[in-house]
Amino acid sequence: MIVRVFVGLALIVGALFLLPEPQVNAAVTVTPEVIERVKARCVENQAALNRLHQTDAFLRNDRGNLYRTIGDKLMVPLNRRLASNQLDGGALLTITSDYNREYNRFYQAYIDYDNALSKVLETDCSREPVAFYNALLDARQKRQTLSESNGKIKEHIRQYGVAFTDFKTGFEKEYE
Amino acid sequence: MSDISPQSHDMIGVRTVRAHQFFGMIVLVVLISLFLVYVALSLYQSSGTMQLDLSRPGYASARQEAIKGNEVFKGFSADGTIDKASLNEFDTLYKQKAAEALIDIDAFSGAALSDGTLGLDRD
Repeated sequence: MIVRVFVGLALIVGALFLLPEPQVNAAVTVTPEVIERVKARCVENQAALNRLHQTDAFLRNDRGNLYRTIGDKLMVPLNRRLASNQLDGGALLTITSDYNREYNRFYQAYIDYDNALSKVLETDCSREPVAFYNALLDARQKRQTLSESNGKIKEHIRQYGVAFTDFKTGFEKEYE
Repeated sequence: MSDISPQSHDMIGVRTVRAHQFFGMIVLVVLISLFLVYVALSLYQSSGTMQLDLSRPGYASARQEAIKGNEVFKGFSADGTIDKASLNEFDTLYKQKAAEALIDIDAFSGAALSDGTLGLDRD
């Protein structure tokens, strides 16, 4: 009985992974001129995109670690310490919550972007220039989303700094 | 007309399975392990771990760069009182990390994939 339940569960989980991913193809008419340029610059663009892929992986790790450090080792401990001292850190808490939500978006946006760029790299630009260019447009859009999310995280870091300075000023006025 | 009844067919089948129990078990184990590997790799890809894994082939330079700046940052303690000294300590730590985060690097800018950068807007 247990074996049947296990096999059943395993089949359901497996079926979930086999479901096709939704295809988001930008229906853009690619002009013959662009097709020719894609073919002409195929080799150098593939090399440039490969380098970009590697740089982005490093950048994502570096920025991601930094953003997590700021959230987990600075914002959250200060909020906890304020709470344990019965001090009002409502503004800081709100910003931390928004920050964490945006970080999750950033995390997902990078996955989507990386998958899109991998698709560009997998497409043979000399044989399938139209598919290559469409994949490139998709990756460009995903990169834009990622960039916006990165900008919002930076904005939350700024806001937290300002809110902390306000809190500190108020605290010093009140208690000293 | 065949002399072998359906029942004896079943008997032969059962006997065959029983005679090759060990082989059957090996095949089953291999199939289960292949399935579990498939599930694990799917999770590795869909969870975003793969995208952050710098140990993949071809990421040697990125790996080297990542190791360089791998310092341990203790952070701010969640325990203790709040006074001027502790707020100053947090201020110093936060300003240091915020300066790193807000440094004006053009992270993930759209220009890197533009037609102009890739030379697709001109002959």
